[in-house]
Amino acid sequence: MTSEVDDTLKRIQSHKGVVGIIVINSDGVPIKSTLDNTTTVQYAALMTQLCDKSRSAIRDLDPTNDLTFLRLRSKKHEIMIAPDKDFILIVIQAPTE
Amino acid sequence: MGESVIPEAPKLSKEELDEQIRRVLMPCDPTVDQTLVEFDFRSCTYVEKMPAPGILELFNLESNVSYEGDLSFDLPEPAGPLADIEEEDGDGKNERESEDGSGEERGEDAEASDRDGDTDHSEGATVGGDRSEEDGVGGEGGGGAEDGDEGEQEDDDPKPAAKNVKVTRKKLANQFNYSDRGALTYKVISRDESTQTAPPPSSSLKEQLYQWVIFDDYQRDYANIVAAREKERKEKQILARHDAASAAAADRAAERANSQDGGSQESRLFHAVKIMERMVTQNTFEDIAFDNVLAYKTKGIVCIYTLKNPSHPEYRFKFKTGAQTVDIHNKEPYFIAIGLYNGMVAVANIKKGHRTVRLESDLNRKHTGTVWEVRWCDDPRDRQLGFYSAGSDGKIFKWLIQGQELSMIPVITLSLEHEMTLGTTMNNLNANAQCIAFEPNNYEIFLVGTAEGLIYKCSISYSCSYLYVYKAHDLPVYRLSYNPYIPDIFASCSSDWRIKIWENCKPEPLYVFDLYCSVMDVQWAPYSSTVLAATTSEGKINLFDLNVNKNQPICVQTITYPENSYTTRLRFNNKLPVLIVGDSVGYLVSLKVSPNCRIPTKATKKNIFIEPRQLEIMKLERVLSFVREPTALTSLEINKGQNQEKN
Repeated sequence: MTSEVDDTLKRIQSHKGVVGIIVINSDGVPIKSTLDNTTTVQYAALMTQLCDKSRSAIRDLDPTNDLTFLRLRSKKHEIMIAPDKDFILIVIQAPTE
Repeated sequence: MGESVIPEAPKLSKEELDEQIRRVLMPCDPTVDQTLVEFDFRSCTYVEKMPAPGILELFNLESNVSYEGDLSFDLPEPAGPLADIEEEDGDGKNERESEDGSGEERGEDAEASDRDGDTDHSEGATVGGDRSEEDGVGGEGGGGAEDGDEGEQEDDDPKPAAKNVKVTRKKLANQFNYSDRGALTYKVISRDESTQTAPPPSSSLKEQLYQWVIFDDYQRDYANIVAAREKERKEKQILARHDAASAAAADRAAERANSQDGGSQESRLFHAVKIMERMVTQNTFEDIAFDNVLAYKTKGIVCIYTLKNPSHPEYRFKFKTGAQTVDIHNKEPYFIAIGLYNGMVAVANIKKGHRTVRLESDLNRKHTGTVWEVRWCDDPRDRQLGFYSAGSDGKIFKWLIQGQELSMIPVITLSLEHEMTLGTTMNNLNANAQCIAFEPNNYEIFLVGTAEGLIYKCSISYSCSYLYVYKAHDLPVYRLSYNPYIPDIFASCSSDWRIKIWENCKPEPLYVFDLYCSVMDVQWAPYSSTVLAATTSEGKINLFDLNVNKNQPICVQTITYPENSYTTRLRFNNKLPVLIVGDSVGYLVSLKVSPNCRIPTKATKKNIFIEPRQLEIMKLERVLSFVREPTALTSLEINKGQNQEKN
């Protein structure tokens, strides 16, 4: 299973336009990252907050609902976040023009 | 000497000279003991005693004057000495002056031998002081003089004065031996004292409350209640049974639940990663978005792809020999049948999580040649999923999934003996089945195409005879495809460069298309009754629409170049106008049918209430009517048939 996850992560990284992959645990500590330390820490801190806030918003609208995926489209990147209760998976992808 | 002193004296200014320097002599009695102590019985200690203000008697004169008058008097106010002591400093001057006044008065009293004058000195002083208090309010020296005058007035005429303030003097107490006593209590000194303690430890708690927090708490609370109830129930059971085994079982169950939880985290991570990959891929291929599961075979590997993630297969199954053909079940798309080069078949079930189930036939039950095609077709009588395989040994087998086993039922053996006599040898030669196709919505009738160019129409009910044999092609038939709208119509393709469209049990084809190279695959489109696609060994896709053009393909698309590879397989998506093409070197190309090539059939005014499916059938019927045998002939046949029936 773990090797499958690793393989898939490697494949994702090999896709064109993928800037980086970060896996954060539930405490907001980056477990795995392909970015440099500073960026990783910054992403980890901000995205954890964003996820919490987004989930809060979704749950507040309907408590039986939950957040499953988050896509942030920006001018430079698309940040895709797969939040879970034990981890948060973040992939940053630059658009392919 | 006096003169010598004078010049030595400092010269003083007028103000300095005018300045009054006051010297006050304070009496101090050296005989009074200052260190007086007293035993306090209450606290059982020696307490320092303040020395009493010493009184020195300077002069004492016994009087021999008697008083004859009104003896009715009140006791004097005992305020005298107290008032004296408690008097403020500001009044000291007045007191002294009044004392002077009283002294003067006393003198007069003494001279006049007045009744008043017989009080002793101290008393007089007291009285004077008393009065001076009153006078102090009014004035200073004048007050004293007035005092004196008043005293004189009193002496002269005491009765009218009784109405005035001096009435008090009249009421003086015991005029012969009067003693006044005063006591001074210790002044209790009050003192303010404050201390500050360290502030008690405090912490501020701040939390934002959302609706879902409340919801979650309620849910948790409810779960706890349920769990507690469950536990109670279990305990009761255990107590009733005195059974340790059940407790152990419960523990085991809990452990299992825990382990499941642990496992699910990883699977969730894998799931998240997979979704992420699809997202990334979707971003990469942004303009194409589709949705279905497709399968394709490469040599020895079956890969199951999803259009959501064309970059990597979702599942992979490896086989020792080449996988020739796959088929996905229509209603239960997680069942995949695979035909192998060595004559075996396999079934994969991709539904059960990540532990894909794989069933393979064993060596005893297999085709003796390559399995060229497998097809799912459920026989409702079997109550199990079943598929059919066509092998190069000329046999058609039916396979049923029974739990973890595949059971094989021989259906038919295609024999050539009735059709061909190879010289003098009457060997029981079997046809080389190349492809198989089941009639839509009919689990009994199927077609088998052979390498000999024949198409057999068979039924699963008869294992030794055929319903019909089409002498279709000169070279191997590669694929057969039933029209999804009219099950009487089917298409076949062959390496003799031709695609033929047949009608049920008619020896001649309705349409023949020549593509000038061997046609590897042909498929009817699911979205239109008149569209079919064919792929050729030149690597081209030909899309026909009989409604538009009965002679030429409406679209030709080159997929690969013949020098590199050739296309082998073609399959339409069941729901979307998407077409996938596989080639000989393992590439899989998905194509979207252009909107121009799939204009939906429009209902005319006449048939506006007709369902789209019916419209499609009508469209195909119209197309076929051009090539069918003339109605005159068919009507003749019908007439014949009717006649026969009559007879």
